[in-house]
Amino acid sequence: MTELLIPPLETDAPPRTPGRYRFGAPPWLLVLAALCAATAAIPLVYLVVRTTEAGLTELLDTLMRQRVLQLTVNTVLLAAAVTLSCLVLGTVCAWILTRIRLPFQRTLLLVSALPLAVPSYLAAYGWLVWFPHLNGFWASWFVMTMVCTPYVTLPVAAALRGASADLESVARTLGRGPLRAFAAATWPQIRPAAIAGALLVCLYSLSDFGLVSMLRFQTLTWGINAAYGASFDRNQAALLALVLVVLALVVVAGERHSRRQVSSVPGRSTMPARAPGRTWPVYVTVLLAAPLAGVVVPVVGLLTRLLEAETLRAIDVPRLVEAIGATLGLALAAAVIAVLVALPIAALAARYRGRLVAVIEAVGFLGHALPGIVVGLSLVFFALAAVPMFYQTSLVLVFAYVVLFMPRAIGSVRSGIAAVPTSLGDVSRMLGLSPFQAWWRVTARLALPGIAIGALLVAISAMKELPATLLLRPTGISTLATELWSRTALFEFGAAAPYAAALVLVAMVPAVLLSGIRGTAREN
Amino acid sequence: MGWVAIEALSVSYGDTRVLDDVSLRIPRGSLVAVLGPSGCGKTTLLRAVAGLLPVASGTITVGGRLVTGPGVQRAPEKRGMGWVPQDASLFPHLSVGENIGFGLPRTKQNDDLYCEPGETSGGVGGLLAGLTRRGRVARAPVRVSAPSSHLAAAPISPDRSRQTSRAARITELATLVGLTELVDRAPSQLSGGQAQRVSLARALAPRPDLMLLDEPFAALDPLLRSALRTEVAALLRGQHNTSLLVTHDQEEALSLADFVAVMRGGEILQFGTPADVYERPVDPWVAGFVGDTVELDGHWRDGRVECALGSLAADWMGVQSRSERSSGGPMGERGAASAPADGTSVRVLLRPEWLTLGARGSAQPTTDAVVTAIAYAGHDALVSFALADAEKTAVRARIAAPDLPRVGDRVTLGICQNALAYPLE
Repeated sequence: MTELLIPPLETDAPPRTPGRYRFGAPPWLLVLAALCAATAAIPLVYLVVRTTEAGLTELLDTLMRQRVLQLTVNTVLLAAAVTLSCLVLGTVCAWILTRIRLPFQRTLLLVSALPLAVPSYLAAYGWLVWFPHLNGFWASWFVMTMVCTPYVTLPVAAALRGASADLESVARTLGRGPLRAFAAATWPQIRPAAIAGALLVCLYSLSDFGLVSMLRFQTLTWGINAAYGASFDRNQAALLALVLVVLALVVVAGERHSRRQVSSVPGRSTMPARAPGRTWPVYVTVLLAAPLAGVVVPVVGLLTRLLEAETLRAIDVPRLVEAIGATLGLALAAAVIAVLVALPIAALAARYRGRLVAVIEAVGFLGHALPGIVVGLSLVFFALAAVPMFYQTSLVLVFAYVVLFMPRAIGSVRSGIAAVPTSLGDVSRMLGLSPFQAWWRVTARLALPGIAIGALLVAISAMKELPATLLLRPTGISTLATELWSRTALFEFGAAAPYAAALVLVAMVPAVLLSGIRGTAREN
Repeated sequence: MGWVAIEALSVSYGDTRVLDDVSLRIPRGSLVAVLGPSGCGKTTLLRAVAGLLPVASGTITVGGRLVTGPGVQRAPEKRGMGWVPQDASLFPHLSVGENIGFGLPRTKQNDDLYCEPGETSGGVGGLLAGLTRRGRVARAPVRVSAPSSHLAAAPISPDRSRQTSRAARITELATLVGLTELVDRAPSQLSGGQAQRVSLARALAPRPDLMLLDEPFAALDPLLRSALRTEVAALLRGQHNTSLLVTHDQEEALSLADFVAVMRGGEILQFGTPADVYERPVDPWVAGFVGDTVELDGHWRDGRVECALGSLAADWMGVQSRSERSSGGPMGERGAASAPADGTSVRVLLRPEWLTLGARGSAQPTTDAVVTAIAYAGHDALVSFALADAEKTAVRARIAAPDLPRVGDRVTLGICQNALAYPLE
């Protein structure tokens, strides 16, 4: 379960192992990886092509429209507010988790990571069940903050645990008080992690569609969907998507930049946790705020609705089963294809260095920066223009999942491969194996857990994906997420409950599998 | 002579030249150690021989078979060499026995046939051999029926051409390295020394033409290291293996190898027997790298050097031409370069153990000196002296523990060998 709770932040900062080859990558691998990475670039490239087709003047005209400006301001405001509140709450939670000796520390850490497992629109649905009239900026801000806080808590807690306490002790002996010593000595050590986490929050709130739509706060993602739905103005949808992508890319660039600044300070000792005394309820309350608001309230709301007699009677079993089947099938296909496409990129990135390798890897990670609704929209255009026979087929939808979630696959497959020492490959070559045999019998065999984790992460994400699914699903096919969304949009909270519950249960399958994956080294 | 011949080998990483025109000949059945400081290119040399990295120029032949040359870069798996890496690198997902048998072909139809990897026949069978397991099976009968098609067909030992069953071979090697009871263990349950033995057995199993050992003892603790390396050297000799060992440990190279190649900055500076390298180093750097030295300034006069220790009989170790030095063959008696003119300033070099306490056994004039410090090492000690005639000059002697003087003692120093005289840089 813990693997599931680790945000993508961890997986895309790979350990740079010394086990790399000093010589350049073989050309065939470079070409293959470049081709795979290129698929990830299709949505963005096509979106740019599509918008520029409209012409620059029209572009600027639309851009300056009142409506577009309003949506952009809303989006930025929400993202900024959520980022700020997550940064504060997350840092405080991380500090409590590492510096205060509370009972059940590991459990508390796990619990504070829980909101990551709940899709934002599910949390919004859960709150709507309790308060059907909840809507607007403050509601969106509150629920989004509760859902996103772990993206700050987890990396900051990790950084705090790794931060050297020596510096803080030195600052204390030089006459600083506890708070000033923390600010002077420890904050600089955890700042990169905090900022990287905060920017991740920013990216998520920019890209979020389900939560803001359900809580009726009009952001760019909502606007894109609305403009697309009003099919006479698809140019405006494309343009809004472009604005959103630019915002997202700026945030991602900032996140990458801040992550590079992580530097380790020598010193092994860590700050001892201190006993909380009589103030412990305060600490526990702060810690549990996000899990309570982000998980417990929605899930309890969902369950009460589900167990109402009226709901149980009204469950459309065949339709529910069909949605479960569609969700599982699509997720499985996406997982398999995403891992296959990620494999060459991950193998390249794990073993070789160089500018070209870095570019290929970065392009593979593009999906990380692209909001789901943008990928969905762009692929609608792309399918209509380039491969009309595939428009409205599952193929395009699976492709969207692959683009969106390939970064997760690349991340874990790469760490899996990088963990296999290159000397094992050398040894197998010297013992008579061809490069492919050595790869198959040794490297792939040992990297298998990483590959499987990558596939499961993609599957989980694909099951919960909403906006791209809404745009791309073939007529007549509904997933659990789209069923939940369409019912909630019509205020049919009771009818939505079975789908929400099924989604939670189905998404637990890969999570349980994940917790079962162990290393493959022989252990007696 | 020269079962393995490396000629004018150069390797570059990008713009940096790591190996520069390296030549080396390894006599059949001998153990050659490549000795050098870290970063001198010795591991690169080993990897180039193994075929694990591309070379810029040069040729490598093993038993008359060209494995690296202009337009030829035989794949590592087709070279028939054994590889023992520094960290043992056992396959963590396989048992000890499976690790040892990794290089032995395993087939469904013909589980017990053992054939040699690294030797391919031409044609389609040979092409497939590296790619498919079936290729290996197809290869086996070809090898038996037409051994003359191989340049290197001459067997090293009688049992080389014998077909042994895979399981029997695994047992044989496990016994050889003394790990019979551990064949079912997982690599994670082995100690460092045991893991290195398994790694050795694994490399030996396919009966390689050449064993390559990349600092195999460096990761072990000192006590285990010396015990294991003696054992491994005996084992390699017992198997009549030709071996190339890379190390930065002087003691290891000198005690194990039949021949030592001293490397620095991508070049081989000297190649010879351990005694040759230690007692007649080609230059002061090599001398200092392979052992302790006593270095003094002096003047050459008619076959002797005049220095702080008096007028000593000396051998002139002047520069030889580069081609002569790097010809690659082990140099027994080095052709003496012509001696310099009388009065030339030279660097005089001695080994601390050439200095003796007392005049007895001294082949050279004696000197009076005062003991200034003693670095005690148990079996012997490195004793520092200030010379009576030239108090600023300090010399060190290795003295056996029972004969140790005390600090401040006045003693007579004798010298039991000819000093070495080198030209000044």
